[in-house]
Parts: sequence; structure tokens; C-alpha cells
Amino acid sequence: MAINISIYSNANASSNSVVFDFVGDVLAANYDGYPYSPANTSSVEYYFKITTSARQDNSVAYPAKVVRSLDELVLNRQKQSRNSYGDPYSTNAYSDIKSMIVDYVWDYINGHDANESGTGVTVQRPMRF
Amino acid sequence: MARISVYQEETNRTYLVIAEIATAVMDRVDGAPSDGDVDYYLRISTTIPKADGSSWPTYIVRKLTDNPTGYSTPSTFTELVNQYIAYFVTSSELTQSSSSSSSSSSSSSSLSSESSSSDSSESSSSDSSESSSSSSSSSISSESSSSSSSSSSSPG
Repeated sequence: MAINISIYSNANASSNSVVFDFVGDVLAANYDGYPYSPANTSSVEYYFKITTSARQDNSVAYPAKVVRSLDELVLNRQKQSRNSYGDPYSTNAYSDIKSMIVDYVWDYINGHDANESGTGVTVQRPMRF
Repeated sequence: MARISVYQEETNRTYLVIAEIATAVMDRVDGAPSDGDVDYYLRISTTIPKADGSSWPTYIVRKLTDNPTGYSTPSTFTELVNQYIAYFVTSSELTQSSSSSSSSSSSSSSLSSESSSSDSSESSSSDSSESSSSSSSSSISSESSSSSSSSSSSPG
């Protein structure tokens, strides 16, 4: 069973949701900028799959995201978002699943610039409400 | 939710190992009293019986170090789940001719309904010692045997 995380916009009086699921599948495609070798295996992998039907404020849909480990950080898998109070853009792995989820949700809401705090970061606009 | 089938040829029986994401406010986290904040974690359960015929508890995984005793810290969730599968199979003495396959299904529920169903059964902390004898020898957290039997993660 997946979990829905609701995001409410006080300014717009509307809400969106982000769905986190934990699945076991063979990964046939890889994520842009993923630093590891391509997923060219027939082995099952277990990972978090993040999806949302919400749109960025330029009406572009979000791609599904895959998190296979707590060191797959939100910015190009290499850095945490600027939400990391006291240590923005930390390269440390998330300390637990909650930290990972909170950081990914924050990034959905606020977005980030291209190459924000490093190369290879694809722009993501803030969430549209 | 990831559902892994474990087949035992000798008995022609198929068991399940289930790994699913969950959320709740926990009464204790890492041995400390709750801060009242919502937590997110994995619940790992199985229908494989222990060697003595009793049920395994449901294990709570908040971080990658919440893995079975005797295994090195995994670097990925794939390694983590595979460790639990191996732990259940070997500890339950299902080691002969067992094979596994996995499938996953995706569904969603609202946060409110999720928490209402899990609050009553997921109250253990990472240093819980209230589970049955098998988990007392493990560093991983678990629900008690009684709560495991009523867990919402039971197959089906």
C-alpha cells in the first residue's frame, strides 16, 4: 500500500498530493544523471517510487522518481535540497526514510534551478496549485 | 507494496514476504520518547513460520541500519529486503530447495485512513524488546507477536 502526502496551498486554497510507494521490480530504465551504471540487469530491485499528478507551474508534468538508497539525494542524486537547515546542499546521505521523504516533498513544492549547487541538476519548477 | 513469494519444494507451499511503506506517529524513536512528529518507515512482514511454528513479528525499518542481525549494513533497499528474505528463510529452516520470485502492486490510501489503521499496531520503537524471542536476538525493531498477528500488512 502506498501513502499519499497531501500538500495544501494556503494561498490558493487547493491541494495536491505526492504518492510514495515501495515496490520490487526489474528496472529497465535509469534516471537522468544517475551516477551509477545503467540498470541493465534482470534482477529485481526494491526501491521507493514517487509519483504525482500535480504539475509544475509551467504546466509540465513531473517524471516518476526512483530512490534506491538513502544516498540518492534529491539534486542529481548528489545533494540534498536547500531545505537542509544548517547544512543546505549537504552531500550526506539521508539519515532515515523520513528525512528522504521530507526532502523530496520539499523539492516538489519549491522546485530548484538548473545546475543548482552543482552541475547536472535539471530544472524543476515549483508545484502549481 | 512489494510482495515476494518464497516457494518451498518439499512441502509445495508458497509463503510471502511483504515490504511496504507506512506512516504513523511513533511512541518512541531510537529509544527516545516521541516528539509527536509523523514518521515514515517500512514494514516488513512474512507468512513464513518460525522453526517452532510461531509467527514472525512485523519489523519496522526507519533506516538502512535497521537490518537483521548478522548481516552487514546494506547500501541499498534491494540489499536490505534481500537480507530480510534470507533471514526469514534461513532462520525458519526453509533453506532446502527454496526459491523466490517477487511482484509488486501499487495502491494508495489517504494519510488519515492509513494512520488510523496503523496507530494501534505500530507502537514499538527501534530498541523495542517486547517482541517474541526471535527478535530479542536481533538489533532490528519489531512489533510484538500479538500486534503482528493483527497487523494490517497481513497478506490479502
